[in-house]
Amino acid sequence: MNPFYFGSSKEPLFGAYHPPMTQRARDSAVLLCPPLAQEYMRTHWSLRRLADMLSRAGFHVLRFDYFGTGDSAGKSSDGTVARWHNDIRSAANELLELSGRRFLSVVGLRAGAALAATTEGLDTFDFILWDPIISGQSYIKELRRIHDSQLETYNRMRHQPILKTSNELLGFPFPPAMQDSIEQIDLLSGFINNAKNIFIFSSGKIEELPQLQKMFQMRGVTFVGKTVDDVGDWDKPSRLYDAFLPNAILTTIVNALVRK
Amino acid sequence: MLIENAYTFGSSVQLVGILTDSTSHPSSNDIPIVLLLNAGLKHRVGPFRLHVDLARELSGLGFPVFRFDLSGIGDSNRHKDTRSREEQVLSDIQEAMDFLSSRKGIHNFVVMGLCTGADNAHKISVRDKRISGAVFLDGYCYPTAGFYLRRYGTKLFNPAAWWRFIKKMFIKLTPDSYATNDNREENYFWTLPPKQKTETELKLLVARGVNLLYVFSGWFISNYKEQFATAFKSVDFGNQLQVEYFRECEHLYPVIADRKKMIGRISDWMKAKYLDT
Repeated sequence: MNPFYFGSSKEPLFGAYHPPMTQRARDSAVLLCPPLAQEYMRTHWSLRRLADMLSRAGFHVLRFDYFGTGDSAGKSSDGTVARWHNDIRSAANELLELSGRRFLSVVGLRAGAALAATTEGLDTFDFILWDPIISGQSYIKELRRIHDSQLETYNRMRHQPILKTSNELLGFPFPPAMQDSIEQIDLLSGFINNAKNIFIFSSGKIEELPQLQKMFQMRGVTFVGKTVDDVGDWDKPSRLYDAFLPNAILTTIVNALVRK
Repeated sequence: MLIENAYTFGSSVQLVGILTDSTSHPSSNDIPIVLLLNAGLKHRVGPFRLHVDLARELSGLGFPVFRFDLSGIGDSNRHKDTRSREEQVLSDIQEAMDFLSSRKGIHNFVVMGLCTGADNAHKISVRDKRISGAVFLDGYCYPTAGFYLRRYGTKLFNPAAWWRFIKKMFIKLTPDSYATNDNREENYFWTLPPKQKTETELKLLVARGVNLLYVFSGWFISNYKEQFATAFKSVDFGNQLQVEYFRECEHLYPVIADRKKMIGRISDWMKAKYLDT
């Protein structure tokens, strides 16, 4: 794995490039789009493991951090969806250049799936959405519910209670511009990624799956939707800081990309 | 201007780290490089991006800061040898120091860590003379009479506290309803060493002139500010010890205002110890 910075020299993005570990590389390169905020922290190890598995299967793989997240430039409060869309395009170009491949596949986890689905001009071959956020509004509402329940716990120990603020969710800043832009995301109306093949793999039931399936059918896209018995628990405050160690879903993703 | 570069280093396995450096401050051996150690299994970014914020804050003051992943954590590879985990971790940290010394010509380090990071910070400070300062976030502390009084004194006559205690005991007796498949426990938990051993090691660090900053949250093993100094009355720390106690803060500092306060306190200590003199 080669860690490096790419993009603008003033605001570089962090990337981790995993070259193929087989003698002959596959035709497509795989870009991994991580979740945001606490979900990014919780899933770092599992995305690294997925990248290792894909690299052993012969893919060029790039993991990266959006602006204002992880090791990339920018304060945690400075990101917006428009900025992260640019980052995805920039990472995709970087990966195609590094790998010398013509075809791009994308795996997006949680908000990463939603961001990749709503990025314009991302010419994608296979697109795997892993436990995707479908509605930005519901996502923010859910984060707020978990945040409020955490605050109750913290406040039991404090003389001066932490007051509820709309700009902070689960330890990360979510200023209005960031929140508003996330709330605009709606995959039922804004799914513009033009992938040839779309896969949705989820650890739980996705209510909107029939509508999404219908939409993909109308577009003539090959679609596979599958529930995989594996960890997720995105809505459980008790799992918030636990290590996230999926297994079956990683194998499912690799198998889908190698067409096993 | 701050510059961040990603590096791989390590003689037996590939370790990964990010060096945050300032172009406006010249390198000097009087200005130590700060090493940020992993907190549990969290990768080098730190809980809630704490290590990134801390690195950029300290680098703005002129300290180069290196946040990196120990073997088997984050982006660093696992050792496949038979050494104890402690030996692997300490050699990882020493490899980081060797790497940075050869790049920057600096042989002076301050090590910082939270939780298991504080545990490792203590051990490497004892082992390696290049460490001139250490910051322990919820590091070693031992119960004192004052600790027990604060912890249990008010609860003895409180029926609600007794009820909570009974419920807690009942939960402990029921099987774990959500068993984790995380078996990397050595990275996640640490055991408080015998107090006598810690005391001897602290005396050694003080004799070597190591500056010590202990920052305790109210959610871990300390429940009043003087607990650390009381527990180690026999150690003459001189002016090398500073203890901060954030009674209201949670162990991982999940509240932004708390985190800012803690980072500010560490920055002030670094300035006082290494810049103002």
